Amino acid sequence: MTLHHTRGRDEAGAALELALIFLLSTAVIIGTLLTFASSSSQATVVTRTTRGSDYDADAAMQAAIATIRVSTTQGYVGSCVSFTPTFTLNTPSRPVRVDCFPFSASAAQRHIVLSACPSSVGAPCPDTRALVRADVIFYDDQGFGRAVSIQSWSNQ
Amino acid sequence: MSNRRETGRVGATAASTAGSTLIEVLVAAVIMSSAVMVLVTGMSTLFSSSAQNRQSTTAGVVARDYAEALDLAVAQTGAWCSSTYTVLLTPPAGYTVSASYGACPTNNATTPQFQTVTISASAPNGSTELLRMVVRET
Repeated sequence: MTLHHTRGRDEAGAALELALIFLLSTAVIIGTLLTFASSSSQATVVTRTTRGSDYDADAAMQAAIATIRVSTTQGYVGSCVSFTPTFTLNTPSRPVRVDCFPFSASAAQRHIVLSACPSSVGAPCPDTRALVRADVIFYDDQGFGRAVSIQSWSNQ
Repeated sequence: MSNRRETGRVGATAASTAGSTLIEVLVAAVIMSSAVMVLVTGMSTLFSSSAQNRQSTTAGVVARDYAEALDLAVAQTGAWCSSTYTVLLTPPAGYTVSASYGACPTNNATTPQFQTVTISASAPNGSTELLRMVVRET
């Protein structure tokens, strides 16, 4: 009698307990899967934003080079203003600015260093915050802005 | 008399245990079925999301490849601000890529010679990646 009771109480709820354990395991697995899916989506968005910022810095740098190239007043020691792009950026929430650091100049050439920096960083752009840094020589012999030579191009 | 009472109690207990086990099994089956359905749905969502993200990322890579190829095309002699640039790039099957160009600057010695370009790469699932860039006269 006692034995029968004990056996009955042992069996009672076993299937339900197993089902609940299974349900709990399933919940954990689902949570993990959703975390993976969320991470994948977030990674895609972050990749897109980072790519956009990289190309924005490149675009600003190219436009700055083209602008300084034809300017008869920029690119000289003591005379080189920052360039802020007016065209649409990939990531408008992260505007960029290109700071100019004239290195040397003569009648034949202008040698400058340009740094593309987030606009949120104060000028002059420190190297540690530069998105792109370019060492550029403009050749002004035989015609102003005749040629451009990129000595180095460093991405962060 | 005592034996008959005991027998009756034992019979009742056995019947009760058997019934509750059946109900428990049914409840357990329902719970497990629900769990399996949720699991399958979740995995399906994960696979679908993963495939979409992979295609979006690949479309982004195609756009970047096109940007690199465009840089080369613009640098060709006489290519600057011509009617079309010859961009040598074949996107993967199912992907398409195109570019729209901003206006060419006035060709004189005082106007900065750069041009904005918007590259659009589409994946087989219809998702599109946009990439804006600038090309300049070399």
